[in-house]
Amino acid sequence: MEPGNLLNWLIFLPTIGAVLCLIVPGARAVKLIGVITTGATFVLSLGLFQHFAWWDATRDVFGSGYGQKLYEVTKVTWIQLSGAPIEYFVGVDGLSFPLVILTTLVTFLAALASWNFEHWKVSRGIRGYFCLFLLLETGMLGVFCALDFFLFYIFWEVMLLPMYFLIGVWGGPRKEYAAIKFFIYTLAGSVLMLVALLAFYFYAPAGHQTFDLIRLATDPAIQAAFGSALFLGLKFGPVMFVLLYIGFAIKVPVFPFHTWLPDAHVEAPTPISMILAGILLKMGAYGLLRISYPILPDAGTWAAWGLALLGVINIIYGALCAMAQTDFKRLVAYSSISHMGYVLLGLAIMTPAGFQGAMFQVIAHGISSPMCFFLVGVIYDRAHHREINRFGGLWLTMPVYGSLATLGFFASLGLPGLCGFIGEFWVLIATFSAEQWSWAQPMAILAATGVVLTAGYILWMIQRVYLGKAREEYKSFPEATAREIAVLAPFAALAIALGILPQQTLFNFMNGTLHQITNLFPAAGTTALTVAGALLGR
Amino acid sequence: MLADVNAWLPPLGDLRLFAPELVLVGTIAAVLLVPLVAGRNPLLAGLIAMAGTVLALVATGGLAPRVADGPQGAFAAPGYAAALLADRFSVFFKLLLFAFLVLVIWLWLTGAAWRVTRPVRVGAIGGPEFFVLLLTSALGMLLMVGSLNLVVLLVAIETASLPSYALVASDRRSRMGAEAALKYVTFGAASAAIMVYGISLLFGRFGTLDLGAIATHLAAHPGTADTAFWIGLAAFAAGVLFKIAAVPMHLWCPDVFEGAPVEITTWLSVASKAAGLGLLLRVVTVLGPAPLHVEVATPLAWGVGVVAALTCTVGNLAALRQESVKRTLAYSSIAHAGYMMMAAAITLSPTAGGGGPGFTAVVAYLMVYVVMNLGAFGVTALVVWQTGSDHLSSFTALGRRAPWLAVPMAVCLFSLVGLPPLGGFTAKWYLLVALGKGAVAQPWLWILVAVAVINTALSLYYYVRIIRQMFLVENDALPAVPAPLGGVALVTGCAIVVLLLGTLWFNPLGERATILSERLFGLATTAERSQLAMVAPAADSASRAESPLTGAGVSG
Amino acid sequence: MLTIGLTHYLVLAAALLCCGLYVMTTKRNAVGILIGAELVLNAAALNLVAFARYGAGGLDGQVATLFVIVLAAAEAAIAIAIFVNYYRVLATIDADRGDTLKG
Repeated sequence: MEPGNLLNWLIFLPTIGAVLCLIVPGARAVKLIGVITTGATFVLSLGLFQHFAWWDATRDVFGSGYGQKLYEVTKVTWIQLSGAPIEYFVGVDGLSFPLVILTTLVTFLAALASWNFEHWKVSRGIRGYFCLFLLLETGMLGVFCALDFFLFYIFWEVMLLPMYFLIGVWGGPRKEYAAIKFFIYTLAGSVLMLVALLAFYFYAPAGHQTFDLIRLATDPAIQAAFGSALFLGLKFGPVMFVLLYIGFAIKVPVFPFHTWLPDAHVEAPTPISMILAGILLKMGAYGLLRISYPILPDAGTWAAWGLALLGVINIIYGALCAMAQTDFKRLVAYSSISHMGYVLLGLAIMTPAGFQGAMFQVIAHGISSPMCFFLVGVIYDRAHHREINRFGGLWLTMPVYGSLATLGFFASLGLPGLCGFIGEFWVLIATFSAEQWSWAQPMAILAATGVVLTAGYILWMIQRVYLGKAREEYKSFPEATAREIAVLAPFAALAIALGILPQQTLFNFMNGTLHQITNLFPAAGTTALTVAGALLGR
Repeated sequence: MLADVNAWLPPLGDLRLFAPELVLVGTIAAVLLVPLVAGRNPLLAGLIAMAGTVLALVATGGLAPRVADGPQGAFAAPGYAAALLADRFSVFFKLLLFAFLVLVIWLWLTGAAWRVTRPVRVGAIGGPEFFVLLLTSALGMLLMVGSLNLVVLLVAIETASLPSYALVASDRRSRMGAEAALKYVTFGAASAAIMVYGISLLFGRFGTLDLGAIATHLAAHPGTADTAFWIGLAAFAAGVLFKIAAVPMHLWCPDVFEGAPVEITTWLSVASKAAGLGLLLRVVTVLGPAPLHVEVATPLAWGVGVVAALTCTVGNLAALRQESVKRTLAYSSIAHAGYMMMAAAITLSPTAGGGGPGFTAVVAYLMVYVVMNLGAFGVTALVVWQTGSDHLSSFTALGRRAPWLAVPMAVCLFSLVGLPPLGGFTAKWYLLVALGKGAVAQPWLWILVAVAVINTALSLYYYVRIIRQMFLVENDALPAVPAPLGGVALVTGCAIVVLLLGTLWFNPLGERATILSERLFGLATTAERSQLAMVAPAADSASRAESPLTGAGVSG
Repeated sequence: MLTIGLTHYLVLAAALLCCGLYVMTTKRNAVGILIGAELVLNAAALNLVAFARYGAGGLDGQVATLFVIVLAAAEAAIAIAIFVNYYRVLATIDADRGDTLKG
């Protein structure tokens, strides 16, 4: 480990910006502060690339084991408890690094997307908007950087309040309902996480008590205690896994905890939808990878079957729901649920390939879904409605926008050569070849039908909105502005780059850490087989 | 022996340990007598009360370094157990109560000064008798945390309650006030009667009115914790739970809080509960320690735990449907009393070593609760003065109409939910840590953890309803809400402190609370306590002479 | 000849307690509830005196009884004042009629 303070700047630069937003005069200055702060954060986050060099294969980037090599670490005691201190412990490894970059990028582009704030239906309180927006960024970056469970929890909750107000104040007609639903769902999940947080601390043997996520996963004494402990008469691992899983599943969201998502997306203003889909949904998957699987691998094995099933349900259910939507934004929201299903499936099988596919899908979806939401936002700004059936022929009226839109939706669909394809394909292959699970192949086949469904609803939507004859009432629509193209272009470029060069753009940065996490799992294969056998009654 | 008692006078040194109470009594007399000279002037009465309370606060602060750790200052005749105690525990609660009283009177003064310049929308309360009642109820609460004698406790509870009944009806034109007072007094009379019956049973069973002696007896004679003891204790608890407004003695609370003038609601919501909680903790400390734990402490811990869990669940569930902000906050205060009682259940845990984390949690929670509750009620008061109603609709669009009220209110409400990075989370965190620590030995405490966190999620809904009304609901027709500067300063101060408690003061609060709780219960074992109470006065000529406090003491 | 002992007093007190509890729970008139409470208080006072006489408590019980009597008087004074105020405002003394507050 090495000292560094880049992450602290990253996390708290937006907070400084938020305070500035409250004091500078004039709406334009506030917007400038918002964009400059998020832009500066993004540029700063690029500094992390110095540690992760795909071009230099000889460099030992990931260290010898999980958590052995972290970058930009800050570790100071924050709160003294009688056992062990709660630490302000931040750092990045191959798991959090891509997510940090994604967060700063999507937030920056979302800030750009907020530039036409004055034209929104509800345009009051620009100061409040950007202040909360920047606070939200602090929370998100904090979640991805925190390596202390308590700190993780704090940042997790810090995101809640800004999001509530951002949806509730600046949202659409049913904003209040959507905002409170989001808030209650997420808080309900996070308090369950709080129970697990405390249990991890107090079930560790004396002298080993800690909130340090790395130590919780790697300390053999703690792992042994967790393996044998009972929680209110039930096995400790599975109970904690379920508690954490519900907390994270609400964020992902996993069926049946998903109902807040379509409402929140539909009512949220476009930039907030982008952040919600691009980053907030990823936190559930990140939490599973950072906390659930490394610390409770046995329970992960125990639950694998059910989790994989939930993943498959997500894929198919989300796709079917998306197919039935006539509201453009709602369609994209349900497609998010469907896409996150691949992540769940990839995680559930607990193999390196599965994790790689899941993480790739996380990033790929983090690129394609904000793009899709912004694409919807662009035409909503012009038409002031989102009824798919009332559009038509938009490609003819807005050729540049139409091309970008097709690219974005194809990336989401999973067309080979674009980012969505690699993630889905990787997950399906990994699932199909996960021999330790007898249920894996049927699941993979079921999940593969999701690909067909996805193609169905996206192509159908493209046909109705962008193809066909240009409608009279939309003929006067102006082409996408330079600002809008500036927001879309980076997404488009990344979608292509990830699709063509998955190894160089992503896998090389994270595979090491993902392998280290799978190495934590006990005697891979054997236990898994017996458990699977027991579950299936053989 | 009778002659002894007749000849006995409290030594002067002992009296100095009770300076806060004496100052308060003096203030009450002053508030009553000054109008005879200066005429009836509500503001003057308020200022005298303020001055007296500040003086009492200073006196209590001066007392803090002089009382030793653990129980001390036995105010007792030779051969008798201490009737009044001046120890760190009571000094802590006295400081808390006086500080809160100062802020409540400040709130009242703000309102009174405000009313002078504006048309009054709600009935003005005030005048000498108002402050006599307020200060007397404070006196009763001081006594509640300063004794283990059942009769003194009875007198203390009644001294706290009787003026409160009248205070609730102090706006004599208010229909709701009259009704609230009626409900309060009938409920209070009933619970007091049951409590006295419990005391009589305990007295009959153990032949003493001192709880410490009862604990000693229980420790010395295993098997004496029989049905009579439990019925007596349960009946006695009825009176204590009434003050805390814990289930099942909570029914008065919402009505009284809604019907009472908002300053009184503010006062009762914290002070009455804090004093009741102090008393509960004292009882629990005496009955908790090691030799008693199988027979007494474990069932008692279950009892307290169940009541705590019910209290916070019932409070939160009932709050969900309320339209009146005062009533919502009343149920919220019931719920918070439940959280704090959970900590009392841990202190009975046999492994916790005389309380430890449980007391840390209660101390931290109380300190945070005082601030955040004052903030929320303060804003409610300011809104009620201006709009004449505490209905949810009075808060519509407050974010635009009065951001200087709406933002502190939002901070305090989110803190009451227990969201980081606010003080309410800090408090809840220390509570949960204490519960987790206790659960190492007693896994059933995890149920309390679960109840606490589920209730946290539940409570979000009704707090956010108020926030929603303030920020999300728009109504451009409503005028701005002006507010007195003093009141705005008060609530803004509360909000800032709440924010600090959740961030920079997170650790300091915990450390302070730990130090306090360790010192409050420095020698909390039954044997030591009762030894001190019973033996010290009898054999004390020597020890008193050594004490710097009692150098000039008059000894019987 | 029957000797009156502790048990007799306790049974009488228990009977008083039951009457008081019954009155408190069934009466709707606030004064009635107050009377019920007074009955319970008296039961407790009787207990205290009896225990002081027959038990080991000494004078404590008698002293406590005095306190109880004084408290009962103070409570009654306050309660009656509040009832009168209530009657003045609402023209009834039925606790059930007070339905402005939803308790």
